[in-house]
Amino acid sequence: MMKSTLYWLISAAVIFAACESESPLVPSSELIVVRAYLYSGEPVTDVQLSYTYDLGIDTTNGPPINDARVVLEKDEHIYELVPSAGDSGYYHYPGSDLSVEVGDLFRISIEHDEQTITATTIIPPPPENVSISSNSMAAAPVFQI
Amino acid sequence: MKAIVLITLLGFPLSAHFLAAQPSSQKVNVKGFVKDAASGETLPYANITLVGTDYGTSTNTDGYFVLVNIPAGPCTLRVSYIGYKQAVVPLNGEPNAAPVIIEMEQQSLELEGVTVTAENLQTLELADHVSEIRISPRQLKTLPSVGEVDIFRSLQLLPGISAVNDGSSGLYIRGGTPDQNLVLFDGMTIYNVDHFFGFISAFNTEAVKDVRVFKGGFPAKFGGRTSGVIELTGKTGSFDNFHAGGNVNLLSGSGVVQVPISERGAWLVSFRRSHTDLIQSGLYNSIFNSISGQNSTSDETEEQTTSGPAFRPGRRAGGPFAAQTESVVPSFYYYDLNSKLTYSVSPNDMLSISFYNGEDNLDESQDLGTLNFRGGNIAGTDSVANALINDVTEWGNLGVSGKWSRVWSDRIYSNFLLAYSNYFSRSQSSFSTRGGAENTIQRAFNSAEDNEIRDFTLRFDTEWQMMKSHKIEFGALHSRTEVDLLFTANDSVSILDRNDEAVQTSLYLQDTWRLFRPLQLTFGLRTTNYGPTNQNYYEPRASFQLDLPGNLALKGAWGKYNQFISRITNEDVLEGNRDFWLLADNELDPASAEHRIAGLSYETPHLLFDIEAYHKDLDGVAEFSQRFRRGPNTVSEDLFFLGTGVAKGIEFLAQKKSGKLNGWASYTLGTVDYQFEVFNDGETFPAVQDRTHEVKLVGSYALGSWNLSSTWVYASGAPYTAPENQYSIELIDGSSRSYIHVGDKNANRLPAYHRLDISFSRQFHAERFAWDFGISVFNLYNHSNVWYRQYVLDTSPIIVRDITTLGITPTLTLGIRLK
Repeated sequence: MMKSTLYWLISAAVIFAACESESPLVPSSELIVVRAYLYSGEPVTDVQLSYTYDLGIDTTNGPPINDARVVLEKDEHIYELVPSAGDSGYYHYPGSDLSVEVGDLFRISIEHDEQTITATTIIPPPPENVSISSNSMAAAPVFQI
Repeated sequence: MKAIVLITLLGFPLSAHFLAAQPSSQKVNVKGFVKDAASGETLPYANITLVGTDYGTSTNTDGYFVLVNIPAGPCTLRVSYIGYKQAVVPLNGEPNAAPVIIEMEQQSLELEGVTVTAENLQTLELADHVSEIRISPRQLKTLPSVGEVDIFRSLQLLPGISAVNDGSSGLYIRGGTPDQNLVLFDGMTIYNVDHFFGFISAFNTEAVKDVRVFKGGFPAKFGGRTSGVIELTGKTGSFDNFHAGGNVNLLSGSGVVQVPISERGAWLVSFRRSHTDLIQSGLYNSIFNSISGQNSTSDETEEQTTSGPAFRPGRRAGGPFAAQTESVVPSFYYYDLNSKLTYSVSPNDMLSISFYNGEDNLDESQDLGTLNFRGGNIAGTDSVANALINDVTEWGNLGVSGKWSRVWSDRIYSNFLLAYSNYFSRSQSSFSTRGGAENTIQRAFNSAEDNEIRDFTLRFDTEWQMMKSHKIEFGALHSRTEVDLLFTANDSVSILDRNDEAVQTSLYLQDTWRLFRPLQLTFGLRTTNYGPTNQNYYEPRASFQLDLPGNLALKGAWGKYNQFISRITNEDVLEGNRDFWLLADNELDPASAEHRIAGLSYETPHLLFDIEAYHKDLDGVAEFSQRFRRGPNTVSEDLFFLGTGVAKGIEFLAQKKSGKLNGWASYTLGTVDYQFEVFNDGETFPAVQDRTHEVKLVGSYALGSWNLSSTWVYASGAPYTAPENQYSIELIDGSSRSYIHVGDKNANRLPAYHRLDISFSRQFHAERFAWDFGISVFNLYNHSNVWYRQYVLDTSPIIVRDITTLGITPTLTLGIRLK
């Protein structure tokens, strides 16, 4: 009785000690990342869609999405964006009848892979006394100690 | 005439026979106390049966019992108590007899030269009430341990009681959290039940006589908690002889002294203190490294290794200075002191005063010497300065209770109790630099956390054996609880500052009714008036036991429970969660639960098979988090979130109670799901204490004079919230910023937990001394059990570290007792 119990214990110990550990990173499902900027007085060109990417990947760019249906809505008017050139994930509005003004309320709607993503925003006034170039940006002080 | 005489003569023996054959119409009450034959300690909850009948009872918390309305004349009582030899007591059964004193002998764990065979060496015993378990603290010495024998760690080997990780002695009973259990020691409510960051419980086994655990469905006598009840009865000490003993192991030393007082009383003192601030054994270092998160597995390089300890939920982390602490050797110690004075004022009156004090102290202060501060200076500070960290944390309990027990009559027994309990948790950390010509303080950052509970309770409890089939219990409780909670930073910034107090009054009434021979019903009602909400809370309770043919028994219980003080987890993803106690009020609703339990058992003197299913609906589950803000003007009260939960499961237990090889095997299938409106979009998620499958195997074998024990524990992995993927956003200025997407709350599982422990123990006997010697090996096959998973997100690719619990750990214990 004692021997059989001991053999069982040793066998169980070997079995469990030999078990290999799993990868700690959980399998991820791809999520859609929407990055959109609307500038007052400017055409709509800065809407970008991409997928998220795995934690174990050393990169800063997610896979672009070029086949989504992207729609902007303002004052009950619908404006459908089209993919920009190249495999960039960027979308733009091709027409000239869409104006972006300070105070406008916009709703964006994206349909892709049987998912619908929506968001709203109100166009803010542009910052005053701000200049920006390719390598510098200047702004007025906002507070003083 | 002759015929008349003959008939009379014939009639006389017939009459005499008739008179002799009829049972006596006189009824008597048999009452008395059950005691330990060696020490004179009364034994609570011992089972007493009138031989030849199915009438029985059990002793109360003071060892008193009464059997009412039994026929006068010779009778025999059979008495059993876990850890003791069964006693058979013949009585004369005379009217108005004096109380019976039944003395029971302890079962020998071993006798030198004698092999124990058929004796019952049970460590655990199921009581008649559903979901009630009793354990023998004395028998725990034979089970494997880490450092020292621990009551709460041993309770974690029972079905339905989970050990979430090695670093916690808290009891997660049927999906409930430790703060949902009512822990009583001689009537005092104990709020902090552990030492050494949860690794060891706050109760010295040498000071505890009996442990009774309700895993649910507890009777109306108990209230204020929604999960379980752990009732510990302290030893009173010997009324007859002086006793002393001591114990030393790789973590602590302890001693106990029992002094008789005029053969009518006793004074018992037990003291335990760790030597971890003086001698840091390998065991201490192993445990400390494990608890502080320094046991880990990852694929990080040396350059990428993060530094510093990171304390886990329930204890503060290394704080904002964690990166500086990797070379710290902290000073840590714990102690506890139990003292109990018991005196029999009269045959019907007993007075006792019990005192408990336990504390942990951790000092991580250090002089960092000269530091170089880079990146520009705040005006008026030196770039090179002497830096000092002051970091001290202390926590513990202090309690005192006074009890008067009185036997009013054979059938009526009362206890009057006055108790005070104080829980405290204080943490102060500061970082300062000195510099300049006058060496003044230039930089100073500090934080403080202070949580304190003061609990004053007055209660009385009465048992009335109204008739054979009805035992009435009733009582009242009046308590005042004060809770202070203070989080500050830099002396003046108050993050949280609450001072709450609550007065509550509870009444209860319960009837245990033997309806007919195999069926016993218990009905009870508890009502509480809670001051802060000014409401009355009604808690109906009911349970039954039905004895079926073939040693089967069917049991069940239902009840409602409320909780007015809870331990809230303060979620802090950077520095580790902290827990603190808070009273319920109109903004933080009292928690409540409804229990439904059903079970079936088969029991013989040698075997037990038990199946029990439970279902608990939980309301008022609380979490505190600063991650989710209700609005721009969030105040501290808005950071509390209330939700609901459901805990359900089924437990299987098979126990071999006697023989050289004995023990038990248990399997629990259970889930705990929470639902919060703010988390997971309102979808349910598993609670962190959810363990779907748990298996426990406990065996003990008498090998000559030695006892060999082993335990094997398996549990499903703990749920956790994991970062799942990442994305980058190009900002308006052309730069790029990375973000991490966190998955659903607790949607993932850590690897399964399992370990094997073994121990060898033996008693040695000399004329005046007895020695206990034990060797234990914890986690014999050194399985890496993941405690929690840590992500380093500011590197690419991300580093994942699994913080593991104790690996293979041998320990030694040595105890000595004066006979």
